[in-house]
Amino acid sequence: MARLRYAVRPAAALVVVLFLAGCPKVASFDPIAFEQTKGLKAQALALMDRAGEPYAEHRVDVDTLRARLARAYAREQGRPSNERTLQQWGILMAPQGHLLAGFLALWERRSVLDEAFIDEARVQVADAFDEILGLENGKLRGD
Amino acid sequence: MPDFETFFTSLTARIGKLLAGAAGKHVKDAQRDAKAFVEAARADFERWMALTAAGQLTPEDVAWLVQGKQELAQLLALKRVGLAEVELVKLRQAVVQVAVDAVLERLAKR
Repeated sequence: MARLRYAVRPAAALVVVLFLAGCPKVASFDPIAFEQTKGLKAQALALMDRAGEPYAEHRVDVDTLRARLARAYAREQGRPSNERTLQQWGILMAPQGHLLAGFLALWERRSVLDEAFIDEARVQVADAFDEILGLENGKLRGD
Repeated sequence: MPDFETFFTSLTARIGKLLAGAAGKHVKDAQRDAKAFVEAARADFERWMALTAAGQLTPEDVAWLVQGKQELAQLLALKRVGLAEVELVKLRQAVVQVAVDAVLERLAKR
């Protein structure tokens, strides 16, 4: 019985070591990224509100937003162990998708979008930003 | 040697409590998120159907929104996976701390 105990103990220690070694690495909370995302959310939702007007009138605003989004994405790419957040941004920014970049592309194609559609799409884009913010907010804080 | 046994028993119990607490919290959070998402999606689908019937949304609009909802579910899943990874890292830190505390405690008793 005692022999069994001594055999089990190193095995248990090995399991703990493997568990510790197998833990993923995760990015730490970044207050600048968090505030930047909140700012982009506000800017994106304000612009979506204007999609009932011809796209051509807001082309410059859309280009500005796209440039800011690209800069935010590049910043996220520069953070180590940040894969989940990057994947989230990738979905939000996919032009063939059905969230922010997809909405902007659709507006460009149709020129004007209906109010009811804008309202519904806007809620989903707001929720999408909230998921990104939720993950950022849950990351480890440096003590 | 019995002293050593007590030490390991106590350490195992402490780490087990940590693991159970962390796993339980994560599962509860994920279930709460999933439930809220499904309830909100159901309300959205019903509203989109009503708006389509009223002529305010086209079937193409609804198809687009449904695809957006699917992408939103992916974002939620990524958030949950990301938060689970954070919990795992916190757990690793806590397990190491418990082990270190237990060893120090034992040394102090000697």
